[in-house]
Amino acid sequence: MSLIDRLRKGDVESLALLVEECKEVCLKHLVKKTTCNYEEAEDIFTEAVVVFGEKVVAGKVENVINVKAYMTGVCYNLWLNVYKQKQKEESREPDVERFFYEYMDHQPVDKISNLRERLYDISSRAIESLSKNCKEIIRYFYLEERSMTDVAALMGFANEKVAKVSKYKCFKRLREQVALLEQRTY
Amino acid sequence: MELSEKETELIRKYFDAELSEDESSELETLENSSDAFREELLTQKAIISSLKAQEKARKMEAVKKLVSAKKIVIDDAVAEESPDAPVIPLEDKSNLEVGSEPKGFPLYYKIAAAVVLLLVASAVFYTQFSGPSPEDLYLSYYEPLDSNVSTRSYTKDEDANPLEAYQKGDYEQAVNVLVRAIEKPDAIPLLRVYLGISLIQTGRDAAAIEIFQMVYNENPNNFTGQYAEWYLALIELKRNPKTAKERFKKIAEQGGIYDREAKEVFEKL
Repeated sequence: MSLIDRLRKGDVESLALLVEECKEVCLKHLVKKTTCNYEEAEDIFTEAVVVFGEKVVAGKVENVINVKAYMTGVCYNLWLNVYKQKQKEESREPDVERFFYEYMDHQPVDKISNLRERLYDISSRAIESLSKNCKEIIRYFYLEERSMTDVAALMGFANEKVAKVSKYKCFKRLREQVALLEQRTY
Repeated sequence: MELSEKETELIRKYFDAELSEDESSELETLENSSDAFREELLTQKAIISSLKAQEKARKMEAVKKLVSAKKIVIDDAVAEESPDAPVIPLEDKSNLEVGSEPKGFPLYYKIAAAVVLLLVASAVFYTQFSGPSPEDLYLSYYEPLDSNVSTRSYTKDEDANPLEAYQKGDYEQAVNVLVRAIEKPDAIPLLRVYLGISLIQTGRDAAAIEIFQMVYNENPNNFTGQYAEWYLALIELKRNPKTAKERFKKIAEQGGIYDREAKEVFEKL
């Protein structure tokens, strides 16, 4: 079975294989061809592995003959994004917007991050309260963006229709749990 | 306020990407007119994006562990040793002394050292006389062309950016977009170079060769042609190093964007 097939089937060891297969080439390429240091290259490569895995699982990448070349390209583009972002930040003149964000960063209770943290907390508690099957269905469909055909196959359902109905029920339960937890907490 | 069954179904369809055109406009209208509808849609979006963010953070952490488990050596610069690597302190020589051997290293250490020396010498000999393999050269010299290489607009349609997917590294999508973009009568030839690179990135070398060959034949004397020729040479490096060598020689001799790199590859082949 190819690496892509293993990634699609959710084989956890396939990510380790991908790292082993591409790490050296990608890190060497990044360190030699860009301004990255070793640690930055490791971070970029980590993100590239996650991005690649997500794309394969979501069915956005189906056939890659040369995984090393593909991954090198992904790493290079991620680096390019980081590099451009850095340049933009360096060249930016101090302005009102910048002062605003600096001010917000130093606030002990920041409304925005407070809301974000609250949602993080509630949604993670809500999903934990669901059954194992529901958790998996939600992960496959909403987080990994798999097709209904994939979800049905992975869950051992008879067809996509069954998967769709189960998915709907599970998400409904999740939504109810979030509402319940919100009421209890606040 | 509770949503109607129809409104709930609209939201479900939105997340399942099943909305028809009419339903999309209905959803948009409801978003602007009903606070309850908008709030429910936003809450569901927030739940999903929050779970997605947590899942991504978990994945990043797990992969980071895999990536940083073992350091690699990049040429002469030796990366830091892994903290788990065993270290023998130099002053502690007790573990080097065996039995009644008087002083110095025991025999099997000497044999091991000789074997290591022999291996190192063979490796040096091998790299001196055989040079890097075509695959190594390909990996050292190949990189996707910077998408900002041209300051001109790619088509006359200022709103469209056919390189958006390419810039994001989504080469599968880039192929889909660029295949259509190059068909437009006002598309500049450089777009086909980007299509060729996207094809390489997705492992379709044969199709990339066709594109690059076509671009080169049509633009032998300008920058676009030079890009196409460089990538043609690189693909040949993987498929047929002999013909690639000739091509690199030609690129080096004629001068241009890649003459220095081509000379280096030619000399290493």
